[in-house]
Amino acid sequence: LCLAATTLSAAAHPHVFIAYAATILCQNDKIVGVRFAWTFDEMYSASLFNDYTGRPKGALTPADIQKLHDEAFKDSAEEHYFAEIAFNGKSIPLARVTDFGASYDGRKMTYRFTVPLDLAPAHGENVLDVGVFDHEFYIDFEPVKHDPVTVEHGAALKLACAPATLTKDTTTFGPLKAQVLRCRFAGAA
Amino acid sequence: MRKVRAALIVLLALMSLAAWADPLHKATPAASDASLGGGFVVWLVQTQHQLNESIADAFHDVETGGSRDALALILGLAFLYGVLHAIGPGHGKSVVASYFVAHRARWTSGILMGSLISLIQGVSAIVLVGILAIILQAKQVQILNRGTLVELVSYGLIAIIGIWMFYRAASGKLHAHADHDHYGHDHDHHHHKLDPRLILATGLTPCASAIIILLFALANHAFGLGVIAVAVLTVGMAVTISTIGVATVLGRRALLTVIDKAGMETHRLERGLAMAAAVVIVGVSGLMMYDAWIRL
Repeated sequence: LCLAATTLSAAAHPHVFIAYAATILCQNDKIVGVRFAWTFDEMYSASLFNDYTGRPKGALTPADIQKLHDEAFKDSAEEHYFAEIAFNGKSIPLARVTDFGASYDGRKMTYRFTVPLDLAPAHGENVLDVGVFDHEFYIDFEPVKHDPVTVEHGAALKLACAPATLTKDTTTFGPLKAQVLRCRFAGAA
Repeated sequence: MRKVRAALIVLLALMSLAAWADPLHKATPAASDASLGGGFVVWLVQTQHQLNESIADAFHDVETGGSRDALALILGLAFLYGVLHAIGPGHGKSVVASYFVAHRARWTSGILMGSLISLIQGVSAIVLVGILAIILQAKQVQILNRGTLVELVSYGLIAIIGIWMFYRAASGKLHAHADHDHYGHDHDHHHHKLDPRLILATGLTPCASAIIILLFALANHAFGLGVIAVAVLTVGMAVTISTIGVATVLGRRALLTVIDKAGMETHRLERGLAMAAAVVIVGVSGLMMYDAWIRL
């Protein structure tokens, strides 16, 4: 009985692996969005490319990108694009994304899109957590190894960003450690 | 460079596996903290991810150079992937363990059942991809979802067999002849024959990793190579599942020997084990059905 229980709990089965990077978009003293780049593992990339271009090799055309957006990417809207953004401990609901783009380098597919935000810093220290996570754990999201988080036009806010580890719940495997991208900055005095 | 990386991954995986399997390791304070399970899952996922990437790299090497080394590398990686992947959920481990908790069997039955289940899982994946991708030209990402439907059916069948096993155990039908053996203290016990329905229902679940490798091979115009890789993957899975089968057979035997030596009645315990195992089979297959359902 114990054996059966442990074999189930020591379980893991993501079948899609996505490495993500985030760019925090600032404007004056506000955070106005996060631009994500998702890079799929090579096997899933090949499936996506084959399915939505019908060609074995090559680059994506604007028509392919539209098709990927309409028939593949849009489905993840149901999951709020797997993005989990929390500002000063409060999770921010995501309604829409903009500027979808995709590219294929012959091996890996990358999606790029922006989540618009409108966050004004509070007094004192502010903490912005940007994570991507699939609670069903069908997709494993990990930050890219090099420069997972960058800041654009952040001179006024002086964001200091680095990966941090949080515990996220999964439907089948219980709590798992997951990396998020955490930015700290000081609000106006 | 790639080969060095792949070799390092293999070495790292084996070392970590050995460390994990070492009972002394579990006693160290660092490893016994509550995050062990979570940490192990994360490690398993990352290793699978790296193996997945290395297999993809090796496929490109075969495609561009057709070198024999790259082929050997694919087979080695596929084997290791099979061993590791079968540690993950599904693949019939709980069914195999529960089955051998419930029934008296020879240790060779553990290997036989583990191997048959793995074999059927591999064949099931090849048939699924063959029909959907090659004959029906279905979209690859959709094929992964069809696999989920087969999973749902498979776990449903296992649950039904589990309920039937519970009924048999509860009504005492398992031990109609065991009583006879006990009269003469004859230890040439009756060994339960493997249930082909259970093996078939468990094996029906196609291994999603096998599907992914086959689809990738297809995208690279190397379906034959994909089939070979899946065959080796299947052998790797058989090692893991059989190990669990054999361990359960031996564990059950040791437990009953201890109880018997202590002069206690084993009959009731055997019946209890059979009932508990049936409950586990129904419970786990129910859980896996739910898991498949939310992914559908």
